[in-house]
Amino acid sequence: MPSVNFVLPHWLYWLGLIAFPAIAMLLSRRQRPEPGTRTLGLAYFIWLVGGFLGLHRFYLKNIWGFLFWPLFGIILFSSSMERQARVEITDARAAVAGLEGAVTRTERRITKAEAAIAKAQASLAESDDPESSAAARLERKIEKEKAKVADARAKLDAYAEERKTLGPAIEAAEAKGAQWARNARWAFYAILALMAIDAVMMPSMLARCREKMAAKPDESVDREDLVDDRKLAGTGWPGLIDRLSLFTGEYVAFWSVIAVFVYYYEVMVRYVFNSPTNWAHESMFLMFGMQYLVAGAYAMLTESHVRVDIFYARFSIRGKAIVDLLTSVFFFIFAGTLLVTGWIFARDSIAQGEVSFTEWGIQYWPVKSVIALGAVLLILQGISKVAKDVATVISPDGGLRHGA
Amino acid sequence: MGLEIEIGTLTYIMFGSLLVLLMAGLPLAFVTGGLACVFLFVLGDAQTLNIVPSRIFPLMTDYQLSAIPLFIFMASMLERAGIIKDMFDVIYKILGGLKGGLASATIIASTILAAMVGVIGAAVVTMGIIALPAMLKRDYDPKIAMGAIMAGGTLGILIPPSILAIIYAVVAEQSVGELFIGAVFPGLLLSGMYIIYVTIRSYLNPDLGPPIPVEERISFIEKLILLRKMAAPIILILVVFTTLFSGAATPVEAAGIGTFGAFIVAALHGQLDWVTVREACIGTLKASAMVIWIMFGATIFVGLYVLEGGQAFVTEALNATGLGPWGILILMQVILIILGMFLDWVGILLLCVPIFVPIIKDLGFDPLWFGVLYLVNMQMSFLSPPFGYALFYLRGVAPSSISMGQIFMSAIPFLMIQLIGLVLCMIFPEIILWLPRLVYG
Repeated sequence: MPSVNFVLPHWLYWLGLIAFPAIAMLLSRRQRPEPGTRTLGLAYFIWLVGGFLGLHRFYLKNIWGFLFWPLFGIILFSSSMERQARVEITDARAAVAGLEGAVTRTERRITKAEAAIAKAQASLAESDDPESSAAARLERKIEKEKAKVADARAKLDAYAEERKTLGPAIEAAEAKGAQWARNARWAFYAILALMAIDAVMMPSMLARCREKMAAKPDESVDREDLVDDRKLAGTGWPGLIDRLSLFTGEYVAFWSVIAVFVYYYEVMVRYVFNSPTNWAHESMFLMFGMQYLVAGAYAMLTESHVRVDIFYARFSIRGKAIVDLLTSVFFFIFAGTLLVTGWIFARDSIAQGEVSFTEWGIQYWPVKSVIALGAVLLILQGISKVAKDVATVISPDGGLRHGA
Repeated sequence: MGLEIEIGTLTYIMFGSLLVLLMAGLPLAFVTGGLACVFLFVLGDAQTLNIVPSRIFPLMTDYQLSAIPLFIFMASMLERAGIIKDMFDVIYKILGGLKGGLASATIIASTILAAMVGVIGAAVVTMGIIALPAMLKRDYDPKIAMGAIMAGGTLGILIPPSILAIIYAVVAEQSVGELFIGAVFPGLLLSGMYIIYVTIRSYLNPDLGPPIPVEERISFIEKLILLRKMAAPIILILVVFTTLFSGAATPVEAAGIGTFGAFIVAALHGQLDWVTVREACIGTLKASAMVIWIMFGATIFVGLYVLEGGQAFVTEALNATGLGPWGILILMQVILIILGMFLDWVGILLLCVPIFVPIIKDLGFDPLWFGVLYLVNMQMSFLSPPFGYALFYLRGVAPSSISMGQIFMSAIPFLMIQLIGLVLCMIFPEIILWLPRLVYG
């Protein structure tokens, strides 16, 4: 399989975070297609991201998409076998290195023993009395060292034997790895070929799908009701703040879509091409980290933050507004602290242009700055709520709460 | 200000003020966050407040936590694709001929759903909208019908992928994968006990859950054809579970694959357009913001309490009761059940787990086992009056002829079953630990 070494450039990461939600927001404002319709654009999109599984054919109600599955199975299996072969090669190479070390050590021991023998023989030759106890000791020493040499030589032979088996083992593993890589490549090209054919046939498949669906119109698809948070926005200047929260919330909400495709990419390159990225995980958890902070204000506007409402639910609208005004002191303490300390936290980071310690080395300071940004949005939303609560307390029936 | 307050007194002040503000209806995230800031200042000084961002930042850069929005996103997408409705339709047509079959179908559909979603709202609401009228129309006993919907819907938080398991894993420094897999059997155990309960009740008294009339039943072949409709979501679940439990991918990657699959499933159902995506994104944003902001507030609050010696204080207090390890474990479960009546699940986790888990480790219990026990325990918090989420979700969609009292009453038998399930998991730890040991060794 070809290996994929794309590293997401930092500028593209930040640009993507800024540009994608803008595009998605525009697209989601357009006229919505009828549920159940099949479009050529989506068909080609699914072909692009999931064509290797024949998903575009399933989308067009064509059962032959299953043809792709065994081929993809071969790729997955071959890739994992190739990975295994690589592990075997590495292990065998490590064993060879270990053996070579052992050989060097043993040879050194032989040299040392031989030197000792030579020295002992020299002293023996110099000695006057071959019957003395000193001479006997020297002879014993020579015997001992000779035994050591023999022993070491036997070991060397054993090492050589082992070394002989390892060579073929590495070659076998290499051959096996190459074989599985060939298999994977073969299946990969087969899938590419099938996908190329389908790309040409897509319009005609779509036409057939539409005929099929027209023939069976009873398969109606219902649609969930829309939840439109936009009507939660009040009037007047608090309404402006509400709209800011709605806008920022929706903006970062679309980041989740980016995550889907980045993780898809990561899993693909890792398990199909055996080349994991060094940026996918880091870029995504940082993105979600920023999303949580910005989302605080949106969740506050839409009352998504859970509260214990055993008593609260029983208060009148005015009672709720009064209690909310009282408890908002603690809200502002939290949000205010978050803003000030978050700003101090980010300021140091911005001053040094902090980047992460990972290989990818993405800028950290924007992520830290988002703590203060989230706090600003939260405080603004809190001010809007206070304004609405005050209006409710003054005139419980009117007020801005149920504005435009 | 640097005040010195004795830890016993501080415990009362901190948790007393927490209680007061909670009852006044301030959202939990802001109660804990606001109080934490107040106490940080009172016990330390303005400098101490700088702890706030340095506690929040690690959560923003936590790799495991990104599984939360992803799994929520997957569920939102599937919900928008109409999967939940289809699921019940199919299963109830298959089981309709049995006594109590619709109630069993509800529970089975909820169990399968629970394998796709990690939160509970969607399942209870949708089942309340489609399964409840279907059962009432066929003269089911409303109590059995509503109990099945609520108990089944609650399984979402236990059966993987569960958001609660992810948070527990992050807070207690356990492996998400092990918690997920440990929760499989307890989840199936509870689901099985619910089904046995409704079936026995319906066979003893067929008026409670009559089978659908013979002429409405369908043949075996038709059942098989119907099952084809469920193929895409079922394959999706299988793919996510295999990647999760084979250890091939991390839970986060499994969540990513699952969400990608949810997009495809939505497309296959002809529901993938930008408006759907926007809806799913915003639903995800709200749900994950709610969870994560509670984490922000509560980690600072509990972190401060532990720092001030709260850990040792609670341990001493528990030891002073003279209960053995098992006594303390049972006491903890009782505390969790009581808290479950008032607080929400994320809040309970973040307030209790950081304090309980070190004690559990000291007592020689397995923190993984305790984690799953906790998940099973939290099942009760959704059904226990007066503040069970499932009760209110169902209230929101049930016909107005049904009173809140009836909904409370219908939850009671299922609460008892959950209690039995919890006790079983405590007496036989193998229910929880067998599978993780098999998979992870």
